[in-house]
Amino acid sequence: MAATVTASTLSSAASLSIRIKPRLSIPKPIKSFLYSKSPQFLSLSSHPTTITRAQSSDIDTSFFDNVNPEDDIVFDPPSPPEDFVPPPSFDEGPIETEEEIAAAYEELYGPAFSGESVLGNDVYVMDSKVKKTTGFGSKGKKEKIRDGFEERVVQVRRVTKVVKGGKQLHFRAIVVVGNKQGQVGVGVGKAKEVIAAVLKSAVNARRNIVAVPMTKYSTFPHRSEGDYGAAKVMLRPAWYCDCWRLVIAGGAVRIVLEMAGVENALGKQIGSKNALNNARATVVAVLKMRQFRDVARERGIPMEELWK
Amino acid sequence: MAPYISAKRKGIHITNLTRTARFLSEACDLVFDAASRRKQFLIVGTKNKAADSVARAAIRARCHYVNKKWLGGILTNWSTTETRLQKFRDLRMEQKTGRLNRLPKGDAARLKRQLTHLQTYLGGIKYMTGLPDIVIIVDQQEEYTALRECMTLGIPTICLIDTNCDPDLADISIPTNDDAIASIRLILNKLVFAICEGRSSYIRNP
Repeated sequence: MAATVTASTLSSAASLSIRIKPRLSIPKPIKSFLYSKSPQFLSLSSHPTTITRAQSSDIDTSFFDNVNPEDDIVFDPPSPPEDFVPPPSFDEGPIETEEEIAAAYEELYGPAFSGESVLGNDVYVMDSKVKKTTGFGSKGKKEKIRDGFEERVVQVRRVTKVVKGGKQLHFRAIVVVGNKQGQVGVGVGKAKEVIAAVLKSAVNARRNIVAVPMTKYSTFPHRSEGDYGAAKVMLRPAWYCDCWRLVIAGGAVRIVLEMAGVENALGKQIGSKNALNNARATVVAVLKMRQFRDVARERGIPMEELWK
Repeated sequence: MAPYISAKRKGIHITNLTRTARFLSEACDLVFDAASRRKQFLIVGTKNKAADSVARAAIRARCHYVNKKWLGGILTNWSTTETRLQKFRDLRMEQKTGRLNRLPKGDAARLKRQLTHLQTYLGGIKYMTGLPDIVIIVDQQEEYTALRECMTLGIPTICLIDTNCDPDLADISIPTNDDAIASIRLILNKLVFAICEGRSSYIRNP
């Protein structure tokens, strides 16, 4: 039978207390400890370019240094104090009336969407917080430029779906979103109107934003190629002597690089000339790039070795 | 799941309960911390055996819950869910003010049916103002869509796992027997108690 978990364990297990971050990035010490057979297995399985450095803000895992994975875990929580009475389960205990429950919930969360207000708060409090996209009170396209990202439309195409009654026309917009400081995103959106499609694609683009590695002269660290579908894109940094302060690239690739804030680069679309696929291929190419500093740190060699 | 199984007797896996207890204490820690920081919880359990106890546990802990079928996109398509919740609230207001009795019978019947429909599916989340901060899922196989949504949104999850589930998907996975009502109730009891303690500790020193 499981050992009873009491309130005192909550304080005793403080060494295992997990700080809550919006993206919970617990390094999962227990699971790797249970799964790994030997320390060498861990280093072989880790991908060489994604070694995460332990930072001091992470959980202190020195507890696991001397443990043998074959050992059985002994879980002995501190015994409960003398006068500890386990609380009643949620079924037993005082039966609450609907009013009490509603009052308790309203105290915690406000009346929200419940349609009744026991404590006298305004029932329609959520109307002002929820954005109304249609209706008289709101304008259609008031969210033009928000949170520092600039949008540019790469292509708007009219696409057709043939059904029994005829042709259904939609517009497909491809939009590249970026601040000029190294963050870009490519998004697609379809709608029956051009403006609605552009808005949708801007929302989509803001969801997949990527960081572009740049040197202090706003160019790439090294060459790279990326492909997506049949589109293949080659990116090259520019040197001071030739093509300085120029982005030499065509169409979709140029827009992506400009939105990223890269000022000196060469890009060529090898393969298909499809705009969306080329934009995505540049993103893939950019993701493959590494900064010199990171590579030197991972390989454990000084940076001068990399330039030989 | 092999590390969490201690033995296999007559074709039935026996979970290693010391490990379960360890995970449960970690989960209680997390939940206590979160509750003392005023985070919002969501308990998801749609198995018809467990639905009742999930509802009661959530009401006891003053958390949101999903009792009946988890509609796809409750979290990822939150804007549409908000529209539905607004409609739910408007219908409730109309019912309270008595407007439904003044409408013709057909319309009134239709609106009442909509109201019961929304009450069954969205009744537990009617107090939710935004996305929850921690989600507790009762059965991973049954609630796979809910788990996927939380993963795409990056919401930490605590999951009760049986021997046929993947322990790496959720953030904290507690290996239990999710077919037995008694075991679900035990785990829910502990978690609910931790939430209540966390809330009261917030009230004592905010």
